[in-house]
Amino acid sequence: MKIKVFIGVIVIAGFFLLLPQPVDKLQQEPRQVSKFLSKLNNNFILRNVRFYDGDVLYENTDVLVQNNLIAKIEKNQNVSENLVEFDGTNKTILPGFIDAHTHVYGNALKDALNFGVTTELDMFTVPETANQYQSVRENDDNIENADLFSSTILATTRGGHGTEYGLKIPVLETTTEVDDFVRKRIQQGADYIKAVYNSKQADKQFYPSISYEILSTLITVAHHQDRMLLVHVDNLISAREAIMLGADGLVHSFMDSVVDESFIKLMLKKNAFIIPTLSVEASVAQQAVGNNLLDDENIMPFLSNQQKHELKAAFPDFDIPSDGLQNAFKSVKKLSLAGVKILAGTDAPNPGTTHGASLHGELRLLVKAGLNNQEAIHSATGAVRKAFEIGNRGTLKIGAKASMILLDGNPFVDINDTSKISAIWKNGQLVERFKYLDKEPTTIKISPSLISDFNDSIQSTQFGKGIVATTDQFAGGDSIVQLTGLTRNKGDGYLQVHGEVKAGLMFPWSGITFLLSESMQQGVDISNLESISFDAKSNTESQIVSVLIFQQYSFQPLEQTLLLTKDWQNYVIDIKKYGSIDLSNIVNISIVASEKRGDFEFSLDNLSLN
Amino acid sequence: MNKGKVIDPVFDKLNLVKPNLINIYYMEAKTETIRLFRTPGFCIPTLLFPIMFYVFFGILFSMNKATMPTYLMITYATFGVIGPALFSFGVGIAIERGQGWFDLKEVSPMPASAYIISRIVLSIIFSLLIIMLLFSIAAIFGDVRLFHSQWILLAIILILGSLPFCAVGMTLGLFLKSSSAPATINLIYLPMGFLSGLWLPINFLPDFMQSFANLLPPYHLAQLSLKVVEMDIGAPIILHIGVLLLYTLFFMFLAMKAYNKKDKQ
Repeated sequence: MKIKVFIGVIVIAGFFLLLPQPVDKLQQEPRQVSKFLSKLNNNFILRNVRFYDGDVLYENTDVLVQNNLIAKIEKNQNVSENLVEFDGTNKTILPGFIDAHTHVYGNALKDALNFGVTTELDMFTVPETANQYQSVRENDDNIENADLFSSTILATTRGGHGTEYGLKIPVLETTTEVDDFVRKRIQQGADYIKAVYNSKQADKQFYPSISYEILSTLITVAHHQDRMLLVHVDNLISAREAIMLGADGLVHSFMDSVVDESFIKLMLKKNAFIIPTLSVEASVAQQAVGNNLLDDENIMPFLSNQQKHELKAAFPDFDIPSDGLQNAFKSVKKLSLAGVKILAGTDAPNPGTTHGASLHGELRLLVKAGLNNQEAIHSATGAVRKAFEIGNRGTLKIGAKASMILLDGNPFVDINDTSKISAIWKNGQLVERFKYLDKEPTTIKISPSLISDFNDSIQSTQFGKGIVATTDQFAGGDSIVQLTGLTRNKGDGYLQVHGEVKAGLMFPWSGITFLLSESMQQGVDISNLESISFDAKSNTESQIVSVLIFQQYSFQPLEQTLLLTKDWQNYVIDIKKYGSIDLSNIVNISIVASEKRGDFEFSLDNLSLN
Repeated sequence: MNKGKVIDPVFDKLNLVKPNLINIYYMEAKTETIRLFRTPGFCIPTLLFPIMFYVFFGILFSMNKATMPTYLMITYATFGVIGPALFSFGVGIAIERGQGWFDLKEVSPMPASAYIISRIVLSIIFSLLIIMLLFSIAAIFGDVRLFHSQWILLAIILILGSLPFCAVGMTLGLFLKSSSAPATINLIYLPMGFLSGLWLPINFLPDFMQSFANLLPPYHLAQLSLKVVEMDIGAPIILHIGVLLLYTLFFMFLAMKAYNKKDKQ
C-alpha cells in the first residue's frame, strides 16, 4: 500500500511538472507564419493578387519574384512547375512602406520593419547611429532592419529647436560657418541636410532660429554639394520663405493657418514636397492618436513594451488653438488636390508615435484629411521615390528589390486594412514578424527600507545596484562631480558630493544617482511606498538640489527641488503627491545640483525609502 | 503494519491483533473507489461533462484564443470538482439509505468517520483525475501556459474547494429519497454551474445574474481559482473564502441535524 501511494504521488507530481510553462517573460515569440507562406522566399509567384507597384494598381494579376527581384507582372504566367505558387485572391501586395520623417535610435529600424515599413528617412540622429545602418542598406541580406537614409545632425542655432534634447551638437550663428557645417555633415554621411527655421515675421518665437540669410546660404551650399535641403517649420510665413529661397521640401505641416493660393502655386512652381507628419501634429494638439493604434487588434500584439509606452506618451499642452489640427488637415487636402507631392511621415518616436505602427496611423490621418486611399498609400511608397534619391525603394517595378507586404484585405477600400499584414518581404526574403507576449515584465516590489547609511560604503546599497556619480557628460556636457565618504560625530559615515555645474547644455546637472535594480532593463515597483527621506546639509550657506525619480522608458522625471542649509536636517519627499509618473516601474532616483552654474558641495546621510 | 493478515478474511477471524484503524479507512476508501469506477452512471458524466463542455466552448468555439482557454479551463475544472463531491456524497448516501446498506454500515464496528473520510478521499481522487485531464487538454489543444506554481496552486485550491460541496452533498444525501436524488442533484448541479459563471465567463451574464452569483458557492470557488491567473473580477480573497466557509459550516450543521433526526426514527 505504501508503495502504491508513493507511486501515485510521484506520478501526480511528475504530471504537474510536465505541464507547459510560459515562454520567458521578455522573450519575443516569432509570429507563426503559415507553413506555406514560409516557403515563399527568393523565387516564387503570387497568383490572382491585387498588386500596387507604387504608382499603378493592378486589380488581378500574377507577380513573379526571381532572385529577390520583381521579374514579371502579368496575368496567367507560365512558370516552371517547381516554383512555389501562392494564391493571393482577395489579398493585396503593396511596396514596403517608407516613413519619410523619423528619428532613429535603439530598436527603431527593427520596430519599423515589424510593421512593413522597409525604409525610414531619419531627420536627426547622431552620425554614429546612422552610419551603422546606412552602410548596410544596399546589402541583400539586411533583413533584420529597415533601410535607413539620414540627415544626421540638423542645422539649428544656439538654443534653437534641436538643442533641447541634451545632445551637444554644432550650431550655426553666422553665414560664414555654413560651408564648413555642410561639408562636415556630408563627411559624416548625411544623405540630405535638414534645417530648423522660424521666420522673424512669425507670430510665435518658441526657440531662437537660424537667420533668413543662413537658411539662404544653407540651401545654396547644400545644392552646390548635390544634397537636398529640407526645412522644419511650424507656420505658414516661415514655410513660404523657405520654399521661396529654394528649399526642396517641408518636413512638417503647420497649424497656425491654412495654405493660400499663392503658397500652393509657389509649391507647384518650385516642385517642392511636404511631409505633413499629421501623427505628431495631432499629438501636439493633445489628440491621443496613439491610443487608436493600441486599440487595433492587428497592431497591438506586435508592439514592444517600449513602443506601447511611446504611443501612450503625450506632449505637454502648448495651448494650440482648437482649430489648429483642422488647419493642418485643410492644408494637406488643398495641397494634395492641387497636385503638390505629399509624403507620409510620422516624426516617431515623439510622444504619441512609434516606429512602424504610427505609419499606419499616418495613412489613416491622411485619408481623414481628404486624400483618397490610393493617394495616401502612394504618399508612403511611389511618391517618396520621386522626391528622394533612394533607388527603387517604394516601388515594385520590374527589376526592383521585392520589399513588399501582403495584406489580408483591400486598403484601397478601407485604409485600416494596411495593418492586416499576412507577410512582409524585404529584398525578396520573408521577414518573421515579432509578436510580443501580453504581460509586462514583472517589476520587483520594494518594501520600506534603508538604502544606505554610508557607514560601510558610499557606493553599495542595501538593495539595488548602488549609488554612482552622474553628470551631464552623459549627454555631452562638461560638469564634474566627486563623491567622498566622511564621518561625523562618533564615526557615523556620510556622503559628501562635491563638484561643478558647467554651462554648455540647456539642462546641465551634476550629482549622484541611486540605481534601484540590478539591470537597467527592469524597473522597480515603489508604488506602495510613501516617501524618500534623507539627512542633508549644504557646505555653503545654502544649496539648491533637485531630487529626480525616473520611470523606465521616460526622460521626464518626477522632480522636487529642495533648499539645503548649513545644518544637518532631515528631508522627506512625499512621492505619492507628485503622482505624474508610473511609480510601479522606476529605474533610478537622482539627487543633483543643476539650478546654478558653478561649484557646489552638499552632504547626504541615511538615505531611505519609507 | 500487518498487511496480509487483515486483508484476508479467513485470517481475519483468527486475527489476534487489534483491528488497525488506518487499514479500516484504507479498505473502505479502496472498496468505495472500486465500486464507483464500476458505476458508469457516476464516472462517465462526472468525468465527461466538464471535459466535453470545455472542448466545445473553451477550444473549438473559443471567442478569444488568448484568454478563453485559460479562463474556461479554470471554470470547468471548478465545475468538474463539484460534480464528484455532490454525486458521491449526495446520490451515494441517498441510494445506500434506500438499500439499507447505510444502516448496515452504521451498526458495523467501522467508525462513522471512515465512511465520511473514504468518500472525501474518493471525491479528491476524482477531482484530481478531472483536473489532470482538463489541464492536459488545455495545455495541448488550448495552448494554455502557466507557471508550475500556478498549475499546482490551482489544483490545490480546486481540491480544497471541493470540500464545501462534500458538505452540501452529504446534507442532500441525508434528506433526499433514493429515487429522486440523482434528478434533484442534477437539477441543482447544472443550473448552479451555469449561474455561477462556470460555463461561460460571468461577465457574459446580465448584471442582475452577476450579482445573484454572489450567493452561489461555485462562483466563489471559481473566482478564488481565477485569482491565480489574475482573471478574477477583483473581489477580496477573504470574501470568497468566507462565503465558502459559511456554506461548509451551515451544511455540516444541517447534515448533523438530519443524521440525528434519522437516528431518532
